[in-house]
Amino acid sequence: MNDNGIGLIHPIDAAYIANVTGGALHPVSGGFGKSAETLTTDSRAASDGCIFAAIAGENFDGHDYIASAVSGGARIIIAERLPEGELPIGADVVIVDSTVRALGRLGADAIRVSGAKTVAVTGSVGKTTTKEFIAACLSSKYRVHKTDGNKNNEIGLPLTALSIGEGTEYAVFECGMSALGEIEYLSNIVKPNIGVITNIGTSHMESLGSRENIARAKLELVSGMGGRDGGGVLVINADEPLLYGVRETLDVGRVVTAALHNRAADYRAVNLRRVGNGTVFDLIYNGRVATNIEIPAIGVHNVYDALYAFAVGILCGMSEAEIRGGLRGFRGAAMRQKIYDEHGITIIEDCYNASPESMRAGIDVLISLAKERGGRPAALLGDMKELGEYSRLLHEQLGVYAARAGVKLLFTYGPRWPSPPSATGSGRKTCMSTLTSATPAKRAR
Amino acid sequence: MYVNLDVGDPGKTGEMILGALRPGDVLLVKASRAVAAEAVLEYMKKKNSN
Repeated sequence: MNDNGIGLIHPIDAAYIANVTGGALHPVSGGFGKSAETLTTDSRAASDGCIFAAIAGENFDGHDYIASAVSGGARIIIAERLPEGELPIGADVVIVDSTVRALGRLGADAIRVSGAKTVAVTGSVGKTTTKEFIAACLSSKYRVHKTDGNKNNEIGLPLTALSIGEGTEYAVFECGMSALGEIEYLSNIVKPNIGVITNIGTSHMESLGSRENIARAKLELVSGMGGRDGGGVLVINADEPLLYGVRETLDVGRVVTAALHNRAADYRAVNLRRVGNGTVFDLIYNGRVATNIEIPAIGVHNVYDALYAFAVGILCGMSEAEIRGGLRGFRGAAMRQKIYDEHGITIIEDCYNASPESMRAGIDVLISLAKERGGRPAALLGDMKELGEYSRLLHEQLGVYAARAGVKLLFTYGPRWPSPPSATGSGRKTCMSTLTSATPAKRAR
Repeated sequence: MYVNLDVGDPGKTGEMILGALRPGDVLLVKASRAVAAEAVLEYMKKKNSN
C-alpha cells in the first residue's frame, strides 16, 4: 500500500506505541527513544525518522522490507516479527500481535488526542458520495478531516485517523465491509458521535448471503456509539424497511430518519427537479420547509446522499444557510458521474461502482438526461461482482430494468452478463424487447 | 438493440458503439473501476477526434 507517509497529530516514540498497542519493545531495539512525526506502510515511502508499519498483505509482506525501510530512514518499526538474520540496526522495534490491529489502536488514539467529533458513514451504495457531501457541508463552518478517496477498510480507516490534523473539529470516516464483524471493528475505532447508514443493497451477497445479513452488518455501526445513554445519533434511510423497521430496537442514543417516500421521516426531500447538471429539491424537516436546495449532481441517489448531509449539518449545529452553502460546494469523488459532450454525444461516465442499485440509479439519470436532450438513451454496462448465486438473476433483472426504463441501445460486457436470449450468430445482438418479453422468472423455469 | 460484447477488445467494442450511436444520443458508461470501460471510452474519444 502506497500511503506516501502520514503526518501524525503529535510525535510518538516506541514506548508510546507499545503502550497504546499492547506491543512489546523488541530487545534489538536501538533504544534511541526518538519520537517520530510520520508513519508509512510502504517501505519505498520511508523517510528520515518515520515509523514503518510492516503489514503482511496478500501480494507483499511488509516484513520482508523492514531492512529497506530502515535504510530509507525509518527509526521505529511496528511488526509482528523480525526477519531472521536481518536485524534493523538503528531502529526501535515494537512487536505486536497484529500490525493491522495495532494501526487500529493507534488510529483510535489519534482521534482521542485530536478531540475531534466523528461522523462515520456506511451503507451498500453511496458511502463515498455521502461522505463527500457531509464533508462539504461541515466544511462551510468547521475544520474538517475526511477519508481520502475510499480508504474505508481496516487499514485505510486507521491511516485516515492517524492523519487527523491539529485543530480538526469534525472527522468524517467512510466504513466499508465485506463480512460480518468488520463494521463493528471500524466503529469501535471511530466511536462515531454521528453514524449514517445510506441503504441496504445487494453488494456482498456472495459473502453474506441475504439482504437481512447485509443489514445486520451495516447496523454494526452502532456498536461504537456508546449505547442508548451515549448520546450518539444514527441517521438512517427511512425508505429501507430493513433499517426503518428496526429503528426502535437499536442500541443508540437517538435515530434520525431521512427519506424521499416515507412521510414519517424526520427529513424528507420533495419536488425534485433537474436544473442543468444539478438537482434542486425542497425539504421538509423539523416542522418546516426549506425550498430550493441545490446540489451540483444529478439523480435521486445523490438527493438521498445530500439529505443525510443536511441532517448531519443540523445535528452539528449548523444553520440552514451554512448547510446550503456547503452542499453547493460538493465535488464528487474521482471517477464518479462525470457528464460531458463528445462530438455531439452526451456521455455520463461513472466507472467506480457497479452494483444493481447504483446501476439502476445510473440508468434513471440516463433516461432523465436523454429525455431532456431529446436523444436516444444508450448504455455500456460492465459486470457486477460479488453477487454470489444471485449473480445471473440480478444481471438479467438489470437488463429488464434497462429495457423497461426505455434504454434503446444496451451494450454489456463481462462473463456475468447473459447472452441475449434469442440471439444467434456473431455479435450476439437482439432487440431490447426480448429482454422484457423473456423475463428472468420465465427463463428460470 | 442489446449486444453482449466479448471482453478484451476496446477497439472493436468502441467501433460497435460508435457505429450505433448518432449525434444527440446520451451514453451511460457504468462499470466497477473497470479498465475495459475506460479503454473503450478512450478509444471512442480518439476516434472521434481524428
